[in-house]
Amino acid sequence: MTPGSAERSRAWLGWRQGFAQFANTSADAALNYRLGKPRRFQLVLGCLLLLPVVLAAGYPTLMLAFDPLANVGPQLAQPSARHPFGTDDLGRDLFSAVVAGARSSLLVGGGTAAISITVGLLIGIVAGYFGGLVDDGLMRLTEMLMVLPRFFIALLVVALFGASLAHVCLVLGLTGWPGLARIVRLDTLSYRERGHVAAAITLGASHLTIVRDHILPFVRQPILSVAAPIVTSAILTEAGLSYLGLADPNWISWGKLIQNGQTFVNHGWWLAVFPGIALVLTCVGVAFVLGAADRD
Amino acid sequence: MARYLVWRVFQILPMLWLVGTALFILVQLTPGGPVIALGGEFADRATVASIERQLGLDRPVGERYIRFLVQLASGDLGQSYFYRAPVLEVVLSHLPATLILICPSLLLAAFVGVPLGILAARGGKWEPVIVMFALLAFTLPIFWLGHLVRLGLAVETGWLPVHGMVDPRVNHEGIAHVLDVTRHALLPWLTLMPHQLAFIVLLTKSAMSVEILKPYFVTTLAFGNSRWGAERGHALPNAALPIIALFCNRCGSFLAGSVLVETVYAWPGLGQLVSSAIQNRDHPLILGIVLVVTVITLLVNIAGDVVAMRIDPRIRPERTQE
Repeated sequence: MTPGSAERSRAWLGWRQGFAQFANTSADAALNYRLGKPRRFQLVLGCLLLLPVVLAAGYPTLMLAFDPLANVGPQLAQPSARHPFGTDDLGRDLFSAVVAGARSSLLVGGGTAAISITVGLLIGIVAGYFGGLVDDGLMRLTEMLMVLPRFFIALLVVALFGASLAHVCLVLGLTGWPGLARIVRLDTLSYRERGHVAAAITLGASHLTIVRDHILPFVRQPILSVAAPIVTSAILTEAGLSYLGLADPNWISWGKLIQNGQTFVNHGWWLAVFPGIALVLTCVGVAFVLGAADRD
Repeated sequence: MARYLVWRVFQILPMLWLVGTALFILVQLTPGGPVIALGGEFADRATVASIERQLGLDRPVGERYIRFLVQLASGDLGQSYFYRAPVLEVVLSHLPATLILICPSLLLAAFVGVPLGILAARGGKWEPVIVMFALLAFTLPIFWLGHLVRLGLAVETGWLPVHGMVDPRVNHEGIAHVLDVTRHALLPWLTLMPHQLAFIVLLTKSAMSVEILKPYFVTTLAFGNSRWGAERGHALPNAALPIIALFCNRCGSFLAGSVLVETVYAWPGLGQLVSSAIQNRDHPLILGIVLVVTVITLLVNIAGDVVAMRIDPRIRPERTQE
């Protein structure tokens, strides 16, 4: 075994332990007696709410009775056994549309959170670890981004560059990290002074190794506490933009369904009500699960 | 104080410069270039020529950039194609209607939300109930809530006006006009409230639950203050700083909520402007709205800083200046 591969496998082991730790955080949170009854109730309730949404996003064919875009029934039919959520103005099955819309919502939430968390961790650690001018500059940037009206910036970008889920994810992801970056920076500042980091420096470890193996595993904790608002606000922003008429034409979006429902408000209450319920279930589920898993 | 204010306002200049630069880059990067960004894909030759002249597209990028910034600095945000008027004028004329919606509902949300947050911070049986409801309200899509409220209280029952800001059939004057606007604003207020209330409750709860664990709070209780008196007189002023700061940071999001609610109720404010700008591909107008909203959020944050300074004498302008 070459020294390089040993090094690599050690790093890999470190990551695996880290991930195990990370996964344990939520498992711990579920079982920990410190959590108390209301929190456990919140977690279980959140999981139950999210389950159908995740299923609909992952395996839409399980639930799709009809093609969500095909004309399969009478126009504007009331909810019935055949069409549980009724049909829209073109005779399309609303239940299928709501099921098909789950994927775009979860994609936006997950994509935005992934970008925000990556950037937030990176900036927080770099600012806290290197300090000095780098820290000052990055923190000024963070303060500025914190104040910016994200919804309006997303609106501008989507209006200029065309409506697409990727644009929404990018804009919201690249503007949503300041909260995490600030917390991570403070944690990094304190861990930088710990003994094990000093030991690593003495052993001649590179900056990358120190950050990756000796700081990153300790500052991951706040991710859970900031993830919930990032995910829910991304989902709601995408729905809001779709509602305003900036929906990605390639995806079925709950916001767009609600907009359509409002157009036909005098002809069918079900058109706007069911997509909205799906939106609420998703966001409440995310908020409850991540909120309960967060230990602080 | 005055010096601090001047210094603080001066401080937003680099931020405006950054925002302006970002906007310039965005407009330059738009697929098809700035002409399509500002004039749309089907602009006629005269429009294209006027945009090219206005932006000086025959000039080098650096010169265009400086020109763009100078135009922004002088308040020239371009012409709205749909309204055929300067963008700034159009946006500012729609702003008061939006403020009529936001300000009263925010005030009411603050007066109800802070006590609720304090109650939730005490723990006990009310805490999970309040927090659960706040989380629920916080995650409600505001435009959907507006749709339901409108469906229930206006469309089906006819209790309140369905949309608009005034009754177009009657020309009210004076007090009657105010009452008419209030009647039309009731539903939008009701729709905006839950989200704002939930935010304030969660914010107050998290700030207060830190303060009431500190030794000084136990001391004030030991001196014989009532629980409520100690919370209001001692813990809340300390908790107020993060509450005010985060509340001001959230300003843009409150405006976004108002835009969505205005679209539901066809309220003639920024929201209607946004949706008409989107429908008409009036990109200069969208740009102008984003800029105005950004400036508003910056100013609100300055105001928040000043209020925080009045509340907490530890924050001295001299110290902040360093």
